[in-house]
Amino acid sequence: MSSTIKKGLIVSILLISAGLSFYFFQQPNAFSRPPSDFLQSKFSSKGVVDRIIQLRLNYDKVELDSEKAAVTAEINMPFDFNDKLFFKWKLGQDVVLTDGEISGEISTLLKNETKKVMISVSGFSKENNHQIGFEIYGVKNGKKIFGDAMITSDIESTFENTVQNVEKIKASQ
Amino acid sequence: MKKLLYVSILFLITGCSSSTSSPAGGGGSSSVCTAAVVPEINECNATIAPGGSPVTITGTAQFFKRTTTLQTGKFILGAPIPSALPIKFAEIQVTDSSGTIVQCGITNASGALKAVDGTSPLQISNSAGSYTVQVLSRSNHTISGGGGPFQLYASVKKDTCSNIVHSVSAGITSNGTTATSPSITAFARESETASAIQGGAFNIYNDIVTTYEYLAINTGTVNIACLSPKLNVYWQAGFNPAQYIYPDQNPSTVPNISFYLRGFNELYINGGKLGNVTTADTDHFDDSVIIHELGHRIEDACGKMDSPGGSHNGLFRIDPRLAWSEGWGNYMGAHIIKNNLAAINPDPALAAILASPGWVYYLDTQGYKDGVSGTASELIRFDLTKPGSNPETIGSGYYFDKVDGTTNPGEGHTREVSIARSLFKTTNTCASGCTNRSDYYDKVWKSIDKITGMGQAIYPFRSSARFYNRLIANFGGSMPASIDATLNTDEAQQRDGNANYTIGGNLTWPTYGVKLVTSATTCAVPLEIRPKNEDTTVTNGLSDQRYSNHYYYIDKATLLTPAGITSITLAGTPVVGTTLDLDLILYQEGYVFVPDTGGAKTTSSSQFIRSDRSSGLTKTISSLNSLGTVPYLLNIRAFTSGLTVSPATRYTYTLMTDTGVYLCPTTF
Repeated sequence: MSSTIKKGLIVSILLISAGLSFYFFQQPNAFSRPPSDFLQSKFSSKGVVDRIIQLRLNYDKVELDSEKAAVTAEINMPFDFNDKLFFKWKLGQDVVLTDGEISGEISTLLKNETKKVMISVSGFSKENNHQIGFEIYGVKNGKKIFGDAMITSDIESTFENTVQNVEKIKASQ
Repeated sequence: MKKLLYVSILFLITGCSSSTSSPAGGGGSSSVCTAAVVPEINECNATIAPGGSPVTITGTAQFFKRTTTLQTGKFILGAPIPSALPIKFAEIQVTDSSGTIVQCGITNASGALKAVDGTSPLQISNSAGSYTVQVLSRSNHTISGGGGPFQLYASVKKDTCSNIVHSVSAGITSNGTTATSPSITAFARESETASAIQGGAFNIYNDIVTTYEYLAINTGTVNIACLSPKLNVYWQAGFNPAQYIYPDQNPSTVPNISFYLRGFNELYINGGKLGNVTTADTDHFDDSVIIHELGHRIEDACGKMDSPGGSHNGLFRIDPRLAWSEGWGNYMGAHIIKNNLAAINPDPALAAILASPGWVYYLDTQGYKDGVSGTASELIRFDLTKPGSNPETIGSGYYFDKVDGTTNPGEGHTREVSIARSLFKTTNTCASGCTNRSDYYDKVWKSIDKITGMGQAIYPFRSSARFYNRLIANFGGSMPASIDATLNTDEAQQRDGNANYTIGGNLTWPTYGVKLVTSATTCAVPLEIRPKNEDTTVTNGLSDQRYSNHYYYIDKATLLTPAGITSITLAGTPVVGTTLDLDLILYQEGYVFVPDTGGAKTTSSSQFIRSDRSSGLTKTISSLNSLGTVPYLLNIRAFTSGLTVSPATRYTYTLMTDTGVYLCPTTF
């Protein structure tokens, strides 16, 4: 039995067991789409945190490691926050800071407001695959609020990108 | 609800990403991966007759992994272990220079290259030439268990579309009489294997092999062929499998996770993120995490998994089904390593660090530190021999499931780390806190499986309470005192019927999922609920699972139908304390608990089979005669969201039917 057919059969059984009485056949696809009750087994590695600080990292795409690239973190909050947020850039190997601060703080960030933190680096090009990380946190009502993100200089070489492309192909079929 | 669940997961997980890193190819670009699924290559499991005067291939297959070491008191991943581990029972394919398979084989317990029977020499024809010996992270090998043979049948593959099985290979040359001996080694450093880190794949594989071998000799005479169906594992260096779940999301902000896909026999192990393996959270060398996920698979295959899934972080009282399943996984992730350290990590330096009593941890790390380079951190570590009253703190007053068996009897049944500790302490020897009995893992197995354990269909709504109920049965009705001491005085997991649950003559905690039966009179032991504040240090703020909810199993066939019951009425009576609503909710097996948040009562949900969440203390659910045949769970809930609940608050209540009889909990 092929794995696809087997998965289709299992999904059918699952749905039937969930009380659905119609026959279901899963179309072949590249990736399993886990049910919403998949078992993830991670703990909060930073204690009790609300991972609610919204981030978007933008960067200049350059061809050579010797070229400088500007990297910008756009930070948003889902509510008005009138305290300090502490941020830190994490530069991958061979990525060198050429301008800006590797860490710092932001005071006050209102809902619907975007604050930007920018650095300039070298060594972050498609010539090699490098990563840059960004972490930010603050404290609200005694709990840590948090956000983190990572970008890569050659997204096309990552399998995350492949998964996204497969989804697009599926959506277009 | 699905969206809410995802959001809550995102809020509570910090898989951690970030980077100070070297390139480490995710490998995606090398895979041919489109919307079509490429089947896994066929198994090579039959001997190909080599003809006269065959040439014997000798050699061993081995792998390296990063060891666990200490850095300023924290466990992190360090350099590769000094001596490689054998790749056991793995499939071998020998191909000629044209790529044609000329022989199949399997490695033996020492990693030596053998024929498919596992003992005969691996031989090819006497045709001189160049050959490739490939060892795959795949096995379909029969293991002799005490209750009969079962299959070690697993593949560790790159992804779900290419289904490429990880492998290591080496070229050999035959002169027609003898062949050169291949050196087949999977390395742990990305610099040694063009970033693929095949040692990660074989470490995952080795954890599976080691766990199965342990089970083979520690489950007594129980047949464990339930493990035989094929297990598919997906992992590749630098890839975060959470992307499979959130394919439309920006990968830069998707948290890293490993997970088990229930019902599919699929494990997904976290390999990093966006090609980063050096500082990102990875799990391919985190044996606790790998075996934790395997523990889910074992429970799914050999028992019955009731966990609703969802977020958890070892800090709060949670759904007893989730607490059990995660606690079981945590326990397996520590127990298997403790009892098989030489097979999982034989590094003498680690042994020296651990000394006696050896490995007692659940451990999850991030990044690695290799010599003077790298950045590593300890994400999660808890010592499973710690007392329940004084476990590790993670700061700000938060502990890994701190419990109080006197003040809060039974709360351990809603706490995953407490459950992991009780399982570990009652089945291992350690410096303090353990029962120092390690001779009855078979009874543990018999208590979870489908044959004599809570995996049987007659035990829906499975939790640690049901597990210990089955354990005492497997001890012939007499639980060893040392186990009960751990449950009663250490981990607040008193068994069903414990006297601490009855206060002032009232039953204040009916065991989760205890069955209801009819009674002509009010219950011999009146029912009482003692709701609590949604204290954010002990609950997740989503209704206290220990105190603000009671849960009863309703079997329509034996309870409702024979008596012609069509409705149930809850009648609450305040005794003292804060004025609250008591509500009546009917769930069915597989339910996801529907919380109340922000002071708002959730009055409608697809999870509610029946419900009455009007204001007051008298509630009725009706039309029960139209229910199906699945097990149902009656939830008596005190509405506490957004309210300040006096610690003394108490309500007694009755459950009465439209036929005029009462409903009372029976023997668990």
